[in-house]
Amino acid sequence: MKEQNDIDWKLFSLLEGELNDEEAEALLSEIDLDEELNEEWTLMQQTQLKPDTKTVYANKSKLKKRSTAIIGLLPFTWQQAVAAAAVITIAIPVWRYLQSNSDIDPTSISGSIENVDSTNPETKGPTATETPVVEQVEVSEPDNEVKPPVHPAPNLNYTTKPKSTITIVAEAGKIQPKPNQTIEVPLMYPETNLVDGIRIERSGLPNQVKSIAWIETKFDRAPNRSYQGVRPLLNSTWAGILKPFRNSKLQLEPVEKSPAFKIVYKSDKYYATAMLSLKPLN
Amino acid sequence: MTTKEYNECVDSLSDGIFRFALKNLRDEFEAENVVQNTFEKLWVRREKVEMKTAKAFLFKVAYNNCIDIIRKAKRSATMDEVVENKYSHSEQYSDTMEIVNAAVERLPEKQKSVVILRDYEGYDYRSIGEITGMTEAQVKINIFRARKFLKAYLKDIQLVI
Repeated sequence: MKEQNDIDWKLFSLLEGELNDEEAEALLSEIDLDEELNEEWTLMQQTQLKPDTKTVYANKSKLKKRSTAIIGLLPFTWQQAVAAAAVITIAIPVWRYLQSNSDIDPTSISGSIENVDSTNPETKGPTATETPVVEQVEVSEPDNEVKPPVHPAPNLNYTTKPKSTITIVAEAGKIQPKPNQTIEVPLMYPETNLVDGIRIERSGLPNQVKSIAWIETKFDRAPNRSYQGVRPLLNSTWAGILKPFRNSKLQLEPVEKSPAFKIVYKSDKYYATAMLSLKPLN
Repeated sequence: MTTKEYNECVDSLSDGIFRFALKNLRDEFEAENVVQNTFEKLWVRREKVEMKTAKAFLFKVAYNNCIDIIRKAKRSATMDEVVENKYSHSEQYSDTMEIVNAAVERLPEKQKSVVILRDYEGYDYRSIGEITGMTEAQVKINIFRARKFLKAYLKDIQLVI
């Protein structure tokens, strides 16, 4: 066994060009005279891989950048943008909620919401079918990085847990985003098919909010694959935690003449705006 | 790095990155994602990456990306897990290259990566070490083990045929 290892090491060194001329010459002479060693050498030479040059990356044009700005809202970028925006915008109020209600059992939250919704019309929050009008917000000039500022709504008195509606103003698939196109996203269902090409799911652990949305493409060759970076960590408890955010509203819309998206989140308790800036490809 | 230089990198290196990722992951979709992520990182850091180091940068990012994906998918096997029946096979091969390619699929991930970098890209041990985070000695021993395994596999197949 040791002898075979020694032979392999010698042949490996020869193949890798690690022997000096003299050593290489001597070993090659030995190989010529020894049929068995010759076979071993042939096999060792065959371990060198040869790249399949016919295998090429076909989408080079998608990787390339132009020197002018705001070109490049390609599908992939757009999907990533939607995913990032959703994560950033929704995660913050959820996280705040979790922090402020860490002692509340998810099941009890769920129960209280349902009770309120069914028994007290005055406290009933907006639903997916009764989409509330989202207050217009001032949009500042976008920076070059994601800014997720959160502004609690002023002086709102609560006797119940918050209720809200989720809306994503977005466009999916390969189409370029346009303003004022709305897609309703009920947040409470494990898998919500928006349109072909995008699906949003909730994920994360109750005390470790990592992400609550991800994008899945269905138009690619390998369907049902998520993009790396925003992965689901679906947990049954999560649904209970998210109950207060049932029907909350997330508005995501492209900002005209700017490589950015305005994101507005509004529920009874939280009001958040964020700008997701898409870096100009210059 | 200018935009023009970046685009030159796309032209000259994306095929190699794709082949490297594809060989490691055996999944075209994942390999395409690796290429996209890798060049995205180059673009983001283009002001810090010089043209002459771009190739090493790209392969390093691609390597780490592949390793992450493999670990997550738990596809990799350690060398300790290599057992006799690893040489077993049921495939029909038409030539030596097919046999070698099939054998490469059975290599532990680190060995596979270093031998691909060595043979596909012609990197020396030091450069491979910089990409993979291994020492030169570790690179060498991994390449040796990979070749030894491939050789044993080829020998085994030839005996069967």
